[in-house]
Order: sequence, then structure tokens, then C-alpha cells
Amino acid sequence: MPNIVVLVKQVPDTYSERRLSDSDHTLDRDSADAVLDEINERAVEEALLIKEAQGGEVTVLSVGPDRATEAIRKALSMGADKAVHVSDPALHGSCVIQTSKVIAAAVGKVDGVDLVIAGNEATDGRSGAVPAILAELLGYPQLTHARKVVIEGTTIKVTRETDEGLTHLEASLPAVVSVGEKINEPRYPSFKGIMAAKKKPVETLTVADLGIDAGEVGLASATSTVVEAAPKPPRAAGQKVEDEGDGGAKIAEYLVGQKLI
Amino acid sequence: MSDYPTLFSPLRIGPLTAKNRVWMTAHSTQLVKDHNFTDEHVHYYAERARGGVGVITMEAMAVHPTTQPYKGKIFAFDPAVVPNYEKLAAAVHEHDTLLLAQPWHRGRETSGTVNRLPVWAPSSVPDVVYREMPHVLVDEEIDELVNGYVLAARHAVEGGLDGVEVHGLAHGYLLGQFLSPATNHRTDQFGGSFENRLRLILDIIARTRAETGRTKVVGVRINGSDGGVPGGLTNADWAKIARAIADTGLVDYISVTRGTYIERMDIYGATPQPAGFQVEDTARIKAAVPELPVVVVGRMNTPELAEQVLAAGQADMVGMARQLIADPEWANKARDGETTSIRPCVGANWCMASIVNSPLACVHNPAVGRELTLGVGTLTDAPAAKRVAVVGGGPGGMRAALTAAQRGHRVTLFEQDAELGGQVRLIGRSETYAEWQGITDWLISQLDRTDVQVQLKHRAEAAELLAEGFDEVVVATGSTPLKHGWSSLRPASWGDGTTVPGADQWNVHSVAEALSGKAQIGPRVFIFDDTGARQPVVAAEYLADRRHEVTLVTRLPQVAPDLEASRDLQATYRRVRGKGIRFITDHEVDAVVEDSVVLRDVWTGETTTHADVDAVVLSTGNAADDALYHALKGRLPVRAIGDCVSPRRIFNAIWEGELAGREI
Repeated sequence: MPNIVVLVKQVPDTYSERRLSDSDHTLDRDSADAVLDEINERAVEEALLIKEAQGGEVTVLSVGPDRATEAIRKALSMGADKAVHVSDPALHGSCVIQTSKVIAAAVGKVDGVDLVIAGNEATDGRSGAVPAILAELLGYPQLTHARKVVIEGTTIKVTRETDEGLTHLEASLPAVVSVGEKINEPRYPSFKGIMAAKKKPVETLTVADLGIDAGEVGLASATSTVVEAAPKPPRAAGQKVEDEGDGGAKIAEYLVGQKLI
Repeated sequence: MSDYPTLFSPLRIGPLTAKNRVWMTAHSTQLVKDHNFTDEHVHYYAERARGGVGVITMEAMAVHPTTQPYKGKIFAFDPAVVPNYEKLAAAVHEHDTLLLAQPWHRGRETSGTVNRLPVWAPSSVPDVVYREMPHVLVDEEIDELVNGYVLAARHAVEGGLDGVEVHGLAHGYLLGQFLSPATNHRTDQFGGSFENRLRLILDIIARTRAETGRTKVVGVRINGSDGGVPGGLTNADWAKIARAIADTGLVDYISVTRGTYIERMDIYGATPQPAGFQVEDTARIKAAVPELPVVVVGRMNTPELAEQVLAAGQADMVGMARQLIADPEWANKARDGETTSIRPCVGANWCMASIVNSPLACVHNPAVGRELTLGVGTLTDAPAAKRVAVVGGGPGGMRAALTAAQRGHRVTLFEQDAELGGQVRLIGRSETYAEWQGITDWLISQLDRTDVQVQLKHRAEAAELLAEGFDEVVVATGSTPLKHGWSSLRPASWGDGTTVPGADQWNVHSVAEALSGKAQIGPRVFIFDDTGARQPVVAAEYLADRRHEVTLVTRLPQVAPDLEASRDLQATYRRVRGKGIRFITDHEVDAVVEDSVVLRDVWTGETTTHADVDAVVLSTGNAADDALYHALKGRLPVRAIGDCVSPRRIFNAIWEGELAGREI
């Protein structure tokens, strides 16, 4: 009966226009519709599948502004049992290390955690580093980029998929798993699930509640900051080469010129 | 040199030469009066000839009174057609375009309602669509039939046409009924063996050629395959038939199409039939008759595809009907490198739907059938350039803005959303109907060529339009979905501000909300439809494609009966049922109670409760958003078009947009 914590994050909808704020290059959360990150829906789904097969409890954990409650409610409406929401203005502009520290402290507030499931990379920050940093901080084994997860007693087996190929990993619980896009198809919250979610407990914590000094987090003490941001330039027109019997040579010349071959 | 060298090279077809490889294939126009051509026909065909088409085969014409599916059929056997042929030939030949007649008989694929005569067939097997038990042809009637083809050929020659295309083999029509063992159960000289089944056709071809002589073109229209008809003719069978026809030495070309009434999407492939869906079958026919020019059809929409198929030798001519309905200048635009201005056929099949009750129309070419007044070159400069505001960037508003701007007006187009396109953009969100977005994409691309000022995310209000000093306003503010849930069986409830109990719950959505992707919709969905139109099916498929379990409820005896007119009902049912969408007919919504839906049988009043329904989507029509029109009326010249007048179809919005743009 594993106790599972799922990390979720509210992100700007990838369908809407996403911007960084002009003043400090942090995410302009007001400019776009906010949704539960799709990869987190898969993380929640995986936790629910494990729970449905083996029992246990699923706790959703999110670090984010007050508005992130919507994402948390969605995870709860899918079927998670309860939630921990760390919300504190001091967190504004935190880097991945600061965020991971906060998450690690919050995981510590949940009793008897056997497994932490995260998405492998959020669609906004895209650093893809939090699961690994978190595992280090918690002292848990990390099994990242999972496309298949099997729990057998106190052992976890993961099929890890990266560009290099498939790796079969095995570790003892407790552990941190990050899941990739192919892990599953997340369920839609049912009517009953949405209604039930309204009554599920959400514990809201500040960084002080976690025993962290506000000065340790936030933009001012972040280990990385965005210095400059510019929108992706529009794709330039391609170069047209007339083939007069020497098309191959011309293409090779171009590729050499671009230092591609 | 043209970007499409093969497409714009001439080709010898028997005794004559086509100036290029573009062939307008036969299609009904319903411009007919008294079984004969009208002046509208002359303008319709001349417009396509002027647009650069190499060969035109005019609409199928009856060889006998027993083939009259509807009133508007031309009698090719009646000498009264000859003077009109002369008019048509003069108008079309002016542009160096060949013009052919297409004599045909539908056999069992028609009804005797119009002509009060029995339908004819080789054997007594009813057609799937018309379901009328046919009369089995006797020898004397077969002679009459052959004579009808002879008369048709004679009149074509007398009227100065360039030849005839013998029709009736393809699409399961009468000669195809003789050819196919599935429908020919005869034991006489016209049934049984391949030779016997082909006998009548070879006789008709021989008699036709005897009538035309060698100075005119004689072609034959065949199928490349009957599609999935059990026991029907396959691609290999048709290749053998093509070979036998070619062996007569009497035929100058073969035009290949596909399908019978059992699967009409093979005939009039609408979205999502892919472009060039008949190319492979046709290429195998071409391989069987290498010495004859072969015409390929089937959503051959772009010059790129046309050139590719021709250059590969898969066919010699590219046939199209719907693309040339949508844009009569397709050929000239392709030739001149103006491909981006080609108005695409998006496969919406409004053409097919329109001819059920009226002359031919196109969902986004308002000039079809009205070429004299609205066709190419009829747009006049405005007497004085006015400042015009168009409010609403759906298809109607865009059309009005475009036409007004092309006439020299200074136009500002206001759209409250971040993008142009209106409800067409919503339909386009469904993978199946993504191509429909070609309607609005084309309008946007044409607006880009004008100096129309487009103001997005701008909801224009009356006070501001008055203050800005616009001379005229076109209101195209569209409509809002109704969500009261009442079916039209309860008209009184539409006016009293009530809803079906529970229709105001948060889990009840409109089709537009469902398609927007923004509504929170649970795994199991009931869609209720009162319209009979396409929208509920679009929403159902969109949701099923996203793993929802969908039940489509209609108070009608059939889901989306409107699709019968656009001829894609069968294909749509097959596709959506295959995606697991369930149908419940003859029911309306009695109540929504949390996640239960109570349905009422419209005939018996009996109710049934369906549990675990996470969301309900209502398709019960829209309300016109006409507030702006009424706020402006009487204060400055203002016109309302499209849904804000009364919520209807894309066609109506574009049609009214065009008229408004011309009137200002």
C-alpha cells in the first residue's frame, strides 16, 4: 500500500501566447490561461493506477502562487486523495535548486512517503532537473524518464526511455520517479470526481511553515536568473538552389558552409 | 515556363487537341429549365472556359424519359437541345476549350416520381438509395435505350459540340448495372459471360461512333473500382473492361471515376477523403490502355498534385468538378503562378447539398450559377470611396470586407477574438474537418492583399463606430449558442426564459464550448441534437478523438439527416460509429440531474435515466447577436449579414457578405 506524492505544477497553456514579464524576466502568469501541466496529468494518472491496483494514498504537492489551486483541484478531481500547496510570495523567481529544497521539505511533511512521482520536464521552465535534485536532497534513488513503472513490494522497477534507448532500472522504495509522455493516457475527471474534489483536504504552507528562511528562496538569492529574453525569430526563407547537374555538390557546399558536415 | 509543364502542355484526343491537361468533368448544375439549357448554363460553362480549362464535359443528360431523378434534367434525345448546344459551343470555343456532351441513363439509381414511369434495370434489384423495384428491360426497350444514345450523339454533332462522353457505366448507372454480375442476373445475350455483359456497351459505342464520324471525339466514362460492393466490379475487372473498350478502336479517351450509390463518398469524396484518392486505381487503368488518354479525378485540387500525377504517367488529363466550381480560374491561376490566390475546394460538399432543392452553389464561391452578375470581372469600382466598418471577422464579415475593399472602399474589420475565422475556426479544430479552415484561410490570405485594416481583440461598440465617422457599417456579429435544452417540439418553452431542468448545470455545454477545448468535459458525454445538422457530429467526433465515450442523442429519427444531402451520411456514420460513438434517436432531454440524464421518447413519452454522464453538450441552435445592428439602425447606413440576421450556414454568411460588399 504505497503512499505516493505526485508533484504538480500549474503552467501557462501551450495554446496561448506565453510571455516573460518585462521587469524581471520571470513568467508573466497573467498573460496566458493557466492549466495543470499535461505531463503532471500523466504523473497523477500513474499514481492513481498504482493506487487502484495496490491501495495506498495519493497526495498532490504543488509549489506555486495561490492560483495554482486550480491545478491542484484538477489533480484531486482525477482521484488524488489530498494536497499540499506551498504558496508564498517569497518564492517568486526561485531557481530549480531553491524550488527543489522547498519541495523536499514539503515531502517531509507527508507521513511515510514511499514514492514521489513527477513529470520529467515542465512545459514552461523546461529545465527538467527538479526530480533529480529532489532525489539527491531526499537521499532517495532517482528513476527518471520512465515509460513504465512496476511496484513489487518494496521494490520499484522502471523502464527508462531516453534518446540513447531503453534502460531497465530497479531500486528500493522510497524513490523518486519522473515520467515521460509515453507512460499513459491521463483520465478525464468525472462529474463525481470534480464534485468530490471540492471537499478534499488541501494543506497550505508557507516557506516558514517548512522551516526555510524566506531569504534562502526567491529571485534575489536564486542560483540562476534570466538575463534577457527575446521571442523566437520568425523562420527565415530558405535558400533555393537550382540543380544544373551539380545539385549534390551545391548542397554539400552549403552544409560545409554551415559547419554541419 | 510554367511551374507545371506537363499540366500546361497540349494533348491530342482523337481528332482534336486539348490546349492543356485540365478537364472539367460533368456535374449537375440544376440550372435546367424545361429539360433544356438556360442562359445561366452558357455563362457558367463560358466562365470555366475563360478560366483556362482545356476540356469541358457538360452535365449528364438523359437519353430516355425513364431517367429523371429530379425535374432538372436535360433531354439529350430531344432535338430542342441543338440550338442551345450552338450557343454553348460558341461561348466555350471562344476560349479554345473543347466541349462535350455526356449522354447517360441511371437505370435503377433513380425514382419514377418525377416522370411517372418505371425505373429501368437489367434485373429486378432495387437501388440502396431510391429503393424502387425496377422494371426488367426487354429487347425492344434496350433498342430504345441504344437509340437514345444515338440521338444524343447526333444532336451533339448538329449543335457543333466537339463530341460525346458515353456515360452510364460508372457509378453503378444503367450500363454499369449490365456490366456488374452483382446487378445483372440475366440469362439472355446481355447476361452471364463477360462478353454478354459488355454487349450493350460495345453496341452503344459503335452506334455512337457511327453517328459522330471520325472528326469528333468519343470517350467513355468508367469506374476504376465499384468500391466495397459485395460481388461488384474490382479495379482489375474495370481494367479488363477498359481494355475491351479500347480494343474496339472506336474510343478516343477513357475518363475514370469510382464508386456506386452503396458508398457515395467514393463518388463525391468530401472531407476527409484525401486528395488524389483515386489516383492508384486510375493508374492501373492507364496501364491497361496505354494508347488512350486517361482522365483521373478525385479531389485533384492542387496544381502540384496534378503535375505530379501527370508527370508520373499515372494519367494524361486531370479532371475536376468541385475545384472548378469553387474557382473557375484555377487553370489560369496555376498557369500564371498565382496558386496562392486559388480558392480551394475544401470538400464541404455544399455543392452536392445545394442541388437537392436549388441550382448549384458553392460554400465559398457566391458567383456559382450567377456568373453574369457576380462572376469574374463583374466587380465595379465604387462611385466614391467610403469609410466602411465591418464588425465581425467570421466568413461573412471577411467576405464583405474583401469585396468592399476590392471596390475601392477604405475598410476596417473589427474582430473581438484574437483571430479571424469565427465558427469556421471551431469546426477546423476537429481533425476530420481541418480542411474546412481553407474557407477562412483563403479569405485571410486575400485580405492580406488589400489595405483592409484588421483590428483584432476589438469589440466594436455603436458609440465608437458613430464617433469614428464611418460612412457605412456592415454588422456580422454572428450568434451565440442556445443552452436551454428544449427541442423544437416545445416551441412555447423557447420564449419563456426557462431551461430543461438541469440544463443550467455547470457540466452542460454548447457545441462551440466543447470544440473550443476550454470546457471541462468528463469521460462520458451525451450530445443532444435538435438541428439535424453537422455540428453535433463534429463535436462527437472531436470528443471521441480525445478518448471521450460519446453518445449522440437526437430527437429526430436519424442522426444528422442533413448529411444525406451532402452525400457523406454513410461515410460519416461508418467513421464515427467505428470510433465507438453510440446513437440514440427519437429522444429529447427531459432533465439533467447531476451526472444523470433523463431522456424522453418523443413518440411514447416514456423516460429512461442514464447514469454516470459526466457532461452534456447541447446542439439546439443559436441566437442572433443583433444588438449592435439595432443600436446603429437609423443612425447611419448599416447592413446586417450572416448569423446576426439569423443563424444559418457558412454559405449564407459568405453570400450575404458578398452582396453587402457590392451594395456599398
